[in-house]
Amino acid sequence: MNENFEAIYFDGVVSKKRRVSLAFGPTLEIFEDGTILSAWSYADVRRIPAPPDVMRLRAIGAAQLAHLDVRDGDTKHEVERHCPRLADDSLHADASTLKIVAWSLAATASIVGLIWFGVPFAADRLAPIVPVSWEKRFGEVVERQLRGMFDGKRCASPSGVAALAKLSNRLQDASSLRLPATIEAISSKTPNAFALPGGKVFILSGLLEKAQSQDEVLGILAHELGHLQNRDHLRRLIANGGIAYLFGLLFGDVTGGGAVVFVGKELLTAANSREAEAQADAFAAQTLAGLGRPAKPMGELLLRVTGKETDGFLTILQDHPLSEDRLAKLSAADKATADPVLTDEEWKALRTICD
Amino acid sequence: MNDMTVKAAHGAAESSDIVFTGRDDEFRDLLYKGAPLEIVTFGFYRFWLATKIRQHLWSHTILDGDAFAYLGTARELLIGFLFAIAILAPIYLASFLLGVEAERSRSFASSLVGVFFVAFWQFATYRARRYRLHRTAWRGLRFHMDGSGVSYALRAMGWGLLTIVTLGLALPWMHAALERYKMRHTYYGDLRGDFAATGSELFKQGWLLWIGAALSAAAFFAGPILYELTKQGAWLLLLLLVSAAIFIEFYARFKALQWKWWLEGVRIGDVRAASTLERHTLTGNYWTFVGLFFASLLAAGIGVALAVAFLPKILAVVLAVFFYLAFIVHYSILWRTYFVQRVWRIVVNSLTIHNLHTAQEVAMRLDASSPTALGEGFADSLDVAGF
Repeated sequence: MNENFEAIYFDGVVSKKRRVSLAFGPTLEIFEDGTILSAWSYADVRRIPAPPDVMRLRAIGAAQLAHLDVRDGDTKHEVERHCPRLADDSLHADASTLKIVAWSLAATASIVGLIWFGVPFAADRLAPIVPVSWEKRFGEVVERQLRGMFDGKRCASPSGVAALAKLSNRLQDASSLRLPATIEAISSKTPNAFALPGGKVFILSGLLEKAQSQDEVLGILAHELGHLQNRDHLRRLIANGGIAYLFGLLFGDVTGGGAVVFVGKELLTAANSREAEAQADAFAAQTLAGLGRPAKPMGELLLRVTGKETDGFLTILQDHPLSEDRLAKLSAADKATADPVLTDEEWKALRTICD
Repeated sequence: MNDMTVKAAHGAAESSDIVFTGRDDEFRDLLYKGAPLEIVTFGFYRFWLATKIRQHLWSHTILDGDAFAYLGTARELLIGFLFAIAILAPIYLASFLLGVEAERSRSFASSLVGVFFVAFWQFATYRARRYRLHRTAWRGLRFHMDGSGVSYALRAMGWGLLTIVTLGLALPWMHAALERYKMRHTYYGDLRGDFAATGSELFKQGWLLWIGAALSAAAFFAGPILYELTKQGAWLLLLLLVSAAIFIEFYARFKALQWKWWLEGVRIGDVRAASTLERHTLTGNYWTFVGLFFASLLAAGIGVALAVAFLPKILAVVLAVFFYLAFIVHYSILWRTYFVQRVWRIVVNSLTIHNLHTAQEVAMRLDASSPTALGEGFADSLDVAGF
């Protein structure tokens, strides 16, 4: 036994720091005060990370955290001479950065692919199986929030309500909706109209003021019924949830990553929304054709409300197709073969429904 | 163990050194390589960077001549994160549906969902701590932690409520109670931890800081009030800055106090620590961070402004995105430098350890199970920062 080969030994079971001597016999033997503590077979010895000028060794099959610290040059040399697989440590192997980058990009591509193709597909398939009763519940929640936003003042001049009901009935007769819709007017300066899940459609008085003919309003309402028929809110709800969840896989808590994820989400939901709007426009054009009324006025009202939207760099951020494009499409579908739905009196009553 | 007790009695005044030997430039190089890689890999590199940072910090912390070892791997963190995301999916869905129902019944019940996530966050931080402790070893022996994350989360929620109700006055007792729970479930081998500092000690040292917090809040709310009275927007900005400055200074002071209080309260068996941590070291560190943060914000802002003013639109947008990315990379570097490595160095170098000889021959605890990184995964997916 050669007493010159010294090392520090931790057995991985007790925290005791032992000064030991090593003997290079048939195996690597570890002695403390002449008693053998352990014997490592040379093929099992691995070198693991350690402070500078320390050679730290572990052995496969020994206690997990058992290790030897060798500082003395001669001893290091002797260890290197005897142990053939010192460098084969797999436990502390550092994955190559290139490999991490490559796998991360592959994972990201797969997540983005899932978001781009999988989510809209899943939303299309899932939306129809959501029971109408659930849809109505979502609708109630949204309605409560909206009423809060627009003071909730419902417009109810009797003749106006009658005119609106007539419009509503003619529209629903011509479009065979999957569930009955109720159209209501709300007092608000904002020129807008929207459909809620569950069958409610709201038209704001601001839009009635901007409208120059009843066909404009008729078209907008037909468009909103299109959203209802296509379950756009449910699809959007499901898609947004799926997109948010999948984007959550990227960046996680990386500082500032939130903004990147936000932009990605916005671009994607805007793209989905543009598609839904175009479909609702097509539905409106078809319904209006059924009523024998022109589709072009709706496009004109849209353009009047939004102002000119020339094709610019930020078009991809918009959730509606450009008003000019919509007007062009709707003009193409323009057919006026029947009389207006409302009489002049009724149209006047509808315009002043909030007074 | 008998002769150990005898030895312990003899060496009552014994003290050992603990030092941090990591070099600032080494840590900087780690971050300058790792932080951009986080962006390039869409965030996936964060598991590797966190692991490298911990390895660096642990392995350069030398207690009585022997360094700590960090045994966790990036792969564990990644798997923990993926599992957490999978487990959270139905929870997110359920919380959404619950929110809808609550909103319908017109009650404030939808905020219960928020409360659930705060509790879950507490659970996650407890489990994350358990993972990190179990992956920490010194002299070939692991630390570990038992106890229940759920039980801890319930305590934390109860104390949190009390602290809100008392406008923060219960904060010291909350910290003491929660640290006691964590430390009594902390072990080095079979040596059990404890927490000896009390809430009233912290309160006695820190009650003046409570006034600082009140001042900061007062300045914050005075802004809108003065604006209403005078209609001058300058008040809003001025008082916001004053409020933020008071907040940063007092928060840093509180942290200094809390660190020292915590360090001197921690026990592992009979091993305890004394700290010479000085307040100005930590407040200086906070202000350095704030200064560098605003400098880099300003630099990025000027860069974007110049790009927008002088370059064609497309090029300006590309450059603006570049400046934004450069800014967030720099921000994460600053954050990790000043709130991870510097704080670690300041804290470790302030310490002297007493009675370490009682931990010379600690045995492994036999029934210790090995926790997964699931807790860290939850924490990561809920945006809990930590080192």
